[in-house]
Amino acid sequence: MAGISCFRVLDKLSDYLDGALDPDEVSQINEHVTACDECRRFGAAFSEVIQRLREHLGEAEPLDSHVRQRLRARLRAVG
Amino acid sequence: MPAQQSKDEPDAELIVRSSAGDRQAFEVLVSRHEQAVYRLARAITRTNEDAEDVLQETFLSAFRAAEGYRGTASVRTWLLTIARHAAIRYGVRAARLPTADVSTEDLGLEAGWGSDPETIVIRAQREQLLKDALESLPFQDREILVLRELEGISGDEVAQLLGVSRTAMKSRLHRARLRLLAKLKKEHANA
Repeated sequence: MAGISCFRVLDKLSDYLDGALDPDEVSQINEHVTACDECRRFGAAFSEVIQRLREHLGEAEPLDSHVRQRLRARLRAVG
Repeated sequence: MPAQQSKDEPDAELIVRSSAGDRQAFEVLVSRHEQAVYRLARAITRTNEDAEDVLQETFLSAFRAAEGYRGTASVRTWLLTIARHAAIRYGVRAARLPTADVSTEDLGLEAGWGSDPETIVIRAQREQLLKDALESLPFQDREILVLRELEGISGDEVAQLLGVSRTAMKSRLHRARLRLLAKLKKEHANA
């Protein structure tokens, strides 16, 4: 396949997802995935899983009230 | 200062007042950041008991060292840095990264590149499976995913917090993401 290799695309996926590539590199990857089914499918899955991670687990669970109480008791005990 | 005013005050001002012994100001900081500190501590130590010890140690250290806060990172990053060091001192029970790490190409293959990545997406839609996959990663992967993806801390600050270059941070993050997909894929294969 002309242009960059599949390995190069794989290597750059996070930078692509994070918007950390320059426009030329973005074009190269876009061009590659247009022609490469495997990279297109994997790139879509990679992006989707990271998005799900942020959505499902992004909000921290509230701390157990006993944990919070013990923390404050410990801090109060400091002179 | 009235309680409401403290709650609206920026972290940097609260830490200055904390350094002068203002406990009300410090309590606002604790309330604001305790969940993030606990989550990182839990990600590194993997036990609730150790995470709680780290939580307490972090805020005790921060209160004592508030004077030393220089503002080179956000207060949140400063607290998470203290927590990370404490958590590592408490002992990392989880599997560490193998000494001879695999290539990105092999990681990609393990993560579903070239096979059936759609099944991984289906699994990632289930919150518990995602949690389990995250939990089963080596602690270096968990900590960077918690910091970048869950806490949303900038790449530069995460690099600073981990004491690595931005390039190294990006590489670690990419490999952690690939290993997360690989875990989801593996769980699927084992299901």
